[in-house]
Amino acid sequence: MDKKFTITSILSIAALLIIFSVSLLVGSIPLNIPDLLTAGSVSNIVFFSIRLPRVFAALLSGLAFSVSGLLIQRATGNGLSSPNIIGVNSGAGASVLLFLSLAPDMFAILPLAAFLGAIISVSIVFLISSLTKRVSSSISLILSGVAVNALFNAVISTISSLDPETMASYSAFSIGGFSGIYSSMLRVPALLIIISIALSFLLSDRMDVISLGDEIASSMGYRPLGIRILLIAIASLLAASAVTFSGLLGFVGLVTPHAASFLTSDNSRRTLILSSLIGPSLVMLSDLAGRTIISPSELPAGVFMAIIGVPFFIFLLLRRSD
Amino acid sequence: MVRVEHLTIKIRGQEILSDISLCLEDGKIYALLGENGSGKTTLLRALTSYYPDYSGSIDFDGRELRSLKRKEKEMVHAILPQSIPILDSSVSALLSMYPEALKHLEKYGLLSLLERRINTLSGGEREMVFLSFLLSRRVKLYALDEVEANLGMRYKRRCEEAMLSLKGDGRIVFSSFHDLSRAFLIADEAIVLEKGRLVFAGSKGEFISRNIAQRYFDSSVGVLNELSGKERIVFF
Repeated sequence: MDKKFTITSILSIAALLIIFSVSLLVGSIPLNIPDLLTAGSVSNIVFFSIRLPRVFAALLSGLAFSVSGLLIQRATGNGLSSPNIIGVNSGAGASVLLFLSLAPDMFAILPLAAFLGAIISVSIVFLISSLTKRVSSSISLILSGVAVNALFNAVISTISSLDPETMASYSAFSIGGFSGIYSSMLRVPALLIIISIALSFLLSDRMDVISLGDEIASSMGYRPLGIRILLIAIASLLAASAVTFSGLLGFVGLVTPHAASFLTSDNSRRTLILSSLIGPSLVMLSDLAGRTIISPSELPAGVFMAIIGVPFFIFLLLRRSD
Repeated sequence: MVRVEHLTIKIRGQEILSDISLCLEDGKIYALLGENGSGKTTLLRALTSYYPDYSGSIDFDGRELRSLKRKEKEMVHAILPQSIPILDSSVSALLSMYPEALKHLEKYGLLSLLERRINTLSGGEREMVFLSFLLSRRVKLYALDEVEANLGMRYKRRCEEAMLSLKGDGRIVFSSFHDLSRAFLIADEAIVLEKGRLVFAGSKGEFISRNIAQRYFDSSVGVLNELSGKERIVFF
């Protein structure tokens, strides 16, 4: 088992490094490698102000959505859960659309709007599920997620019917992608994401404990409800941070944890390690495909995330052991 | 010794357990009996810290359960729940939490399951794996919730042997049963719940002399002679 995990990890790291390097070197503007470090050269500017922030953004968003998805699946004990289900996407989407409609010139505050929207909708989901007094059962969380998603999707439809012009900007956000990324917009989310990932690793033993069910976890002295709430809070922070720069790319958060637990049947820490390696690769690959296949024009990464992710997900479903 | 006094558990305003008082002594097997919905599972959960805000008292050797720290709780009680979790991870992945379980898995001939995912095991295999996890913990009180309900004859025997060896080790075994005859095979005392209230706690002899089987289970008592000549109490 240890040997298999070592091999899987090495292969995942190799794939990550290859995709990362290719993503940095390939693009609509060819790079002249010897010029890279010459300040002021075209290659230097393209590499450091466009290519590097963009690839880094794809990596971060893959990392954040995937770990978020894994935390949510572990917290709810439900493989259908993903950042979408607890309202992150619809909340961020409705909020962004509202800002686009009310203040179309203030592009700078869109990330903040997305973050606030995501946090607000997740809080509503939490509030409703805690009112049902059955928070320990994950069903109430998922059902309140479904209800809040319906509400925010209605808000999205209303704004888009009343103000059709905002839809053009919104559609790019809603499918998720990385065109127009600049490094300063990554600073705060990157910090939040790195802190949250570190916390997730610290909590991986707790994830194993709650996977044993509330009765066994309680008998080991833990408070399963507290652990679930903590995991979902971290997951929300991760997804809300990523939404601010990558848009609604939540599908990777459903696919990656399934891929990771397909590759290893081992404990949560190892599933977490593999998710952190696979998610960034998938998103970087989607972005690479999006900006090279129909070059010089480009498709958002979300499109290729679906093209790569859906067949992959169907494969995982068909290969599931139970 | 575990002493329960005036224990009441309310869930959503409804009283599931009402004013339960009982005493569990070290080195004994207690059979928890009662019809469906009588509160057996709730009582076993209450004694293993499932309900943080119970009213009344649950006292482990002079220390109130709710005042114990996390590590202390882990040292006093363990439970084998009625529904065993269906996990995607392998049996060996959980051994990091229960390193001592390996020798029990070996004893039950389950080592071949180590690399299997838990969700691919049969119900009985899953239960025996989690029984091994339970036995690997060294605690005062072992709560088992209808552990025999889904097991074949052979695993039932293994499970009963496990309870007897815990007893021999001076532990308290508190196990719920639906099958009165099997409960009588190994238990020292019986505890009967009806609609969340304690209606009987005492020895097997009292259980029979006070006609508890007829009153609460609509059953009659008989004696069965095994071919070996051994007599056994059975319920119909």
